[in-house]
Amino acid sequence: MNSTKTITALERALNAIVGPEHVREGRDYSIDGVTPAWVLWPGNEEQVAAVLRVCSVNDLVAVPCGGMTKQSVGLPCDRIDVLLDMGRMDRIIRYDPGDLTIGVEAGVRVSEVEAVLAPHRQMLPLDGPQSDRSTVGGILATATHGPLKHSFGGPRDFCVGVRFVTADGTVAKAGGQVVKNVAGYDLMKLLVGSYGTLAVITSANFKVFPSPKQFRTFVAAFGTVQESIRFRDVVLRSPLTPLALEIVSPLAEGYLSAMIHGGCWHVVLRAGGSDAVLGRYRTELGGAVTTELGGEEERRLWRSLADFPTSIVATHSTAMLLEVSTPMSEVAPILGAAETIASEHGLFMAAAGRAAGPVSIGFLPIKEQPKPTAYSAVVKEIRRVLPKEGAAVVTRCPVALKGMINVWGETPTDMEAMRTVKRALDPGRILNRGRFLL
Amino acid sequence: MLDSTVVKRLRKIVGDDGVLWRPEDVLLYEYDAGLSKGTPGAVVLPRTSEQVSQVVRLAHETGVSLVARGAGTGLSGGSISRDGGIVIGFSRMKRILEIDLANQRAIVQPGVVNTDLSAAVAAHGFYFAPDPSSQRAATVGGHVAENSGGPHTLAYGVTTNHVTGLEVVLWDGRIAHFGGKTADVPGYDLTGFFVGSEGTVGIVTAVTVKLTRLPEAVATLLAIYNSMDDAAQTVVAITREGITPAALELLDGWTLRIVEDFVHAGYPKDSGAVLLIELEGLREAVEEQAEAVRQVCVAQNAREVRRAANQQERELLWKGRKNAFGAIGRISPSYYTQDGVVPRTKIPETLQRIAEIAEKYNLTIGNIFHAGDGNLHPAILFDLRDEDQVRRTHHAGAEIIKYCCDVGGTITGEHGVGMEKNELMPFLFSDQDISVMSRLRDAFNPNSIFNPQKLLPTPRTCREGTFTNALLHADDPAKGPVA
Repeated sequence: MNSTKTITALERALNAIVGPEHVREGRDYSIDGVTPAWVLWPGNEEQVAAVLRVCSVNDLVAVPCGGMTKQSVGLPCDRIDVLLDMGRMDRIIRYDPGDLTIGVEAGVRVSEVEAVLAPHRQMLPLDGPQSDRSTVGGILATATHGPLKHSFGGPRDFCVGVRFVTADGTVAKAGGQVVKNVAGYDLMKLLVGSYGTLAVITSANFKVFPSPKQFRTFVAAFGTVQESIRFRDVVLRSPLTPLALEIVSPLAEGYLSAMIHGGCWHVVLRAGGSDAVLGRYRTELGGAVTTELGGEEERRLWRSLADFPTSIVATHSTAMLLEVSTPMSEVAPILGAAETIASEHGLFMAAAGRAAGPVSIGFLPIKEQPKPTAYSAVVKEIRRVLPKEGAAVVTRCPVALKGMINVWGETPTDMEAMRTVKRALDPGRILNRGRFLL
Repeated sequence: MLDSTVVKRLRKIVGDDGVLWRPEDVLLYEYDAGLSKGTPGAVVLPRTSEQVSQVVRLAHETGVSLVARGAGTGLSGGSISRDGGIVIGFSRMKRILEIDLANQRAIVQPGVVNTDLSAAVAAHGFYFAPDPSSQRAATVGGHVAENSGGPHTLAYGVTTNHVTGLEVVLWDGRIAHFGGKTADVPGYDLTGFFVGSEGTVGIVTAVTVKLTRLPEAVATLLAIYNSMDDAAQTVVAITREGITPAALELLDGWTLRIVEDFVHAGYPKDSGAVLLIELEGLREAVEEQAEAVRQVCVAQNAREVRRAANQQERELLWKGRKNAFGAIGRISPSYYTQDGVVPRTKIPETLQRIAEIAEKYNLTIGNIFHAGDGNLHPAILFDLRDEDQVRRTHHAGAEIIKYCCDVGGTITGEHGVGMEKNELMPFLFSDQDISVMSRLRDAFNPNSIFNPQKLLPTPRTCREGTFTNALLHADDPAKGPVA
């Protein structure tokens, strides 16, 4: 993409595909300091395919985007020639409450799916941050999850079908509409968490779930992380089947609804069901519970827990956020270590997340300008205490730091096998070039 | 016949007692529990991942194909060699490598049998959730290959929802690891991609699985109907009510009579259909749901709803379901079990359609299936000696599967595609869909040594009546498919 003549020709080609009214120069956009040449709003999957064919042939780097809530995860792209905004592909394709399945286009916002399901007392457990902005396609691409992961698993567990366009513009699908299906390769799994580096997701089908008649939340407070994890283990060994089970560090309460307070470690449990079922929770949990919540207060608390990672960076633009996954026995040691490591480097630590993992750990500067060396030392030390099978991904930090920190870190999954997948679906590396861990 | 130097080299890798190659010895490996058949050139029984790796390297070098095999309980020919290659049997890799109760995980070799794993952790209040009817023989490695289901996957999910990590041998013999005790690690979810890949992209040598807590309470109900349609409507109504049973199974009148004669499970022989419904969880929740289910059944014209009073009664009711296909095998020379899935709201009309198809082709079709998730297992009875019946069975089967696809369903819910349904893939998938899947298969299987001619359709020119061939090779009625 060098000569002006080529640029004009390319722009003409892109205009012809999506219509000039859906093409804009990218100068008002910036993703980690990289400005796209063009922003495109395709209206259907054929247009996505045609755009990707132009990109493939001309070696243009394409970056799909949804609500732009997680574009800062990973490394800055080498360059962005085409930012593919999926916002116009926002149809609910099919929903039959009797089948407990829904099919939606990638650009549909999560809150819109919730609004469609709610009147039928059904839900899709995609309760990640910023549900009013984040899109279904984005949630899948980034494997985003929220507190309901505890009982429902992540998007990999209930996405039953997907349509997508590979880098060379091939429109394809995998899975289907029904809840049980083993025909063909499970490409949903490959696309979930691939950060838009294998294909552009254009629509997806999900299993949905009946909503409980009522919710109740039980909050327990503890002096130390060890005590709170002991309580978690009591819950996990009990017959109770909570919908969500979160752990909250003392400093995290400032970023959550006012219902969590007192400067303690907290375990927050959400249950659903009849009065009798909720009564049983009350009995089993016993004296450890300090607060019980229902109604609007309860919903607000869970919204704030889902939004915790966003609230941290919204309050401190220079904060560093780690998403830490470990086997559940390692959650307490990691959180304990994170607290110590933070204070040794003159930082605050605020953490919240799934009590059985993963957790989001925010490192906040005491003074507004953190030393880059402090952040990079923190990351190294956290990874040193991680078990072999754990992972700590830096999901937010000042862009300038991304050259100094290995934001993705190690993964137990074989890198060469991942490269094999990448070569099969995007041999020219036109999708999100430079962003991912391979 | 396999080149004798290949056999010699296999013996060098695993020892003389670990290789079968004489025709009478490999005969046992011709079948699975379905209708397909194929004689391997040799069977190799490794003890370690390293040995598997050496076998793969040998295959890679010589171009001889490799098919992994657990207990051979599959129903789609996944563990059968189509071209006289090597079958890798996992009967000597059946160790539980680690039980980590604190993290609710176990790491097992692929040859570990489903119920052995559950038994090993039962005393601590855990079990392994996937529960195919063959679970007393079926292996975890086979579950991974086929992404196996079972009645209780309605509430707990299929195998892929219970596997967080894999050790695999790739095409060049390299031993690679994906995921681990946590699946939430950065990078592509290769664990998820390999589960259900039917041995076409690598050979699994160790599996990290989730252990599930045993529920506090279980209620097992038997709802008895005069009409099949009322039973089918009940399934729709239970789903609509927002009740998620742990299992929801349906047997039609013809099937339940055959089963009752064989197992004496207590299914009333004058009824039109029964539903077997199980609820699990917290005591209070189970009681409420059992009552709600009973009310739905009654509202949908159930003539009686029984509840198992104890574990013994519960097991008896399940014995009927789990031995249903064995019961059919007693009365019919051969039968062909399908595995289509339809959206749950389409169950009543699909059952009507199956009845029409049975009538059209003058065949008996028994219906027994995982109703809760719309996974049908119609069993078409036929006599292999009657060529016309075989032909009619073929057409009826294809019509049923086509109908499932037309109403938004799929060709297989849990049995896998294998060599039985690979030519049916175009019912569901376009040439582009299949081309993308082929790209991935070829990337992980560059010289086609892993399970050739399975899962994906053979290129157009080579296709010729494979579906019929599967039926024509059905010649062992005693080995009834169990679903």
